Amino acid sequence: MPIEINWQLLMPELVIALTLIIVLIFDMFDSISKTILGWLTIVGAGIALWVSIQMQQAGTVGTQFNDMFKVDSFSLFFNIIFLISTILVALISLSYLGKDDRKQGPYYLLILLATLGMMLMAAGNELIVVFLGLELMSLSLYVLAGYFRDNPVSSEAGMKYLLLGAFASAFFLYGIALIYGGAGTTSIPGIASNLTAESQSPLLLGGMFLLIVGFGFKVAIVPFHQWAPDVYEGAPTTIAAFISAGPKAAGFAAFLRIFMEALPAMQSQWGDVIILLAMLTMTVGNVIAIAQTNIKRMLAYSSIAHAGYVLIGLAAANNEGISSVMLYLLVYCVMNIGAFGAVILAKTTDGECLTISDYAGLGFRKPLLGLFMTLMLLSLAGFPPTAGFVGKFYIFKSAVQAGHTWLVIIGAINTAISAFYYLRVVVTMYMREPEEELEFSPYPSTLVVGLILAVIGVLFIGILPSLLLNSVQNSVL
Amino acid sequence: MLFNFANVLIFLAVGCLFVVLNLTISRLLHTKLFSGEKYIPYECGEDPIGDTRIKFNTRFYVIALIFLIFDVEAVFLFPWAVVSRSMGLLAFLEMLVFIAILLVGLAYVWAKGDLEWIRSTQLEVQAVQREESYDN
Repeated sequence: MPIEINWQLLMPELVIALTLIIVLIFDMFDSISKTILGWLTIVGAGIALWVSIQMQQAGTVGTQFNDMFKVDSFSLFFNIIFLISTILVALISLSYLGKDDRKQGPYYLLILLATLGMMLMAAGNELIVVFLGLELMSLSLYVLAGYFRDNPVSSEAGMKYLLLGAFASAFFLYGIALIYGGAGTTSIPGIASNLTAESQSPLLLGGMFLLIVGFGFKVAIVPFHQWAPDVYEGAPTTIAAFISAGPKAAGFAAFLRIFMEALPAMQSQWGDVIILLAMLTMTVGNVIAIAQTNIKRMLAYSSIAHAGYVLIGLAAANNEGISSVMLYLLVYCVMNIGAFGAVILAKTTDGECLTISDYAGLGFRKPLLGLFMTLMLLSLAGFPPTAGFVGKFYIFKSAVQAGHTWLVIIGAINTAISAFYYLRVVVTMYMREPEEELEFSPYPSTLVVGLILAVIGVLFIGILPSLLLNSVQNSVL
Repeated sequence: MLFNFANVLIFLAVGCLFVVLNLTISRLLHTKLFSGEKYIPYECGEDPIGDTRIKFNTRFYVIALIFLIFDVEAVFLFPWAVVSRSMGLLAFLEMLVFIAILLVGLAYVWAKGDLEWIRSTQLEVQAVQREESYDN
């Protein structure tokens, strides 16, 4: 029985897997300088990104491995999001890890593994494959969160993430088992064809809610969000940026694929749950973010709130909703990594500036840092002409079209609340005098390059959204 | 749909009943003799020499993980061996790639010193080297 493998369909994944093995081999030899591993990661992810963009433009569609792996514009668009996040994170990591060779090798290896897992999640056409991708991603992230072993806060973050994450994975797997019981298959198109309005069993309903719990944990939506602030605070700042960007997009990719393709017949049940979760997530995330004094915790709550905005688009559950979610996730990844990058840039000789009051007076004394931070925070708050505004605009527009006007009103109120804590940092930077003179390290050039790329991305999407929007609208499921 | 699971439920119930029934019957029938030997974990084996809750060397887990990887490789080789003749060259090449990737992993583990049973961290090695240089 001959098996046809279309290698071209798997190109982005193969490039990442190959890069992974090359990084593994290079890491074995002590004579090779380990800084090269970061550059290898960037080059590999760059090639995979280029291939994904080419395939996406050409409209490649196809399935592999007995229909378990589906490549379409949707999965390729998410590949682009993941690879952009990986490149940006690798760029901001180059200087962050320092010169210590022992720290570099496994770091880039795990980042590439997590990226491969995300790509598997977005392309999974079978619940088991989605779970495989989810675990590949999560296991790498658990290790990365606790990467600084000699730092107790980082170890605590890794341990917490591992315990809660394993628990959530169990929920997810139990959900898959129940759906298999109800629909008789784990294939996503198979579930959709076996499922009619009459054949719904309580098993399916239970499975669906367990899936929501599992995904809710992975993308940090309230009330499954408690791990996020502790992990973001304890993990290395670059990894906090990574966890908040790619894996969140991957979670939503699989969420969209499963709920829009496999379970559209049950939309009357999950639609209301999503609306409720969206309201809770936005409000809780934004209100608690106001009380934070640590900037990493503040960004963690802000990323919870952003998951809430994405849920508004999911609740709309139409083509506009899906395309706006995809656009928003791309925008969110770029601006959130940019914001964490600005935190890394604010490095004093005794460590990072983590308290918001440390930023007093920075705007004038460190103009470049002030500019980066202000732009990223304005984009997160959703001010025009930044990308954050465009993203929110299309999310809200799709929700109004779907008739969720009052959900949009709650979203708009939350945007106003969020502007308060984002602008508070900007005000502290430009209008407060510093309490003590802090001594700053010089800017690492690779970090500045990464931040400039993020700024270009944020302004480009913000000013010319139409260029991207066509491509997004062609990529909906 | 749900009715198909009745088999599972019956199986579960019979399983539970079987255990309870057997234990009850043996409780009713067995002779009641309680001497000190009865309370030793292995009544007719070695005498215990201490508490079970001792500290394990964490190396056990690393070695077990490495073992597991090659165990799974062996499991994959069996179905491959069944179909390899009918699939021809492609199957052979695929298995070569699969084993090559695992070999790279083994080489990595080896290069990082994880195959040594006693592995000191690099910092300790440096400290030892420093002491040696002081002695000289």
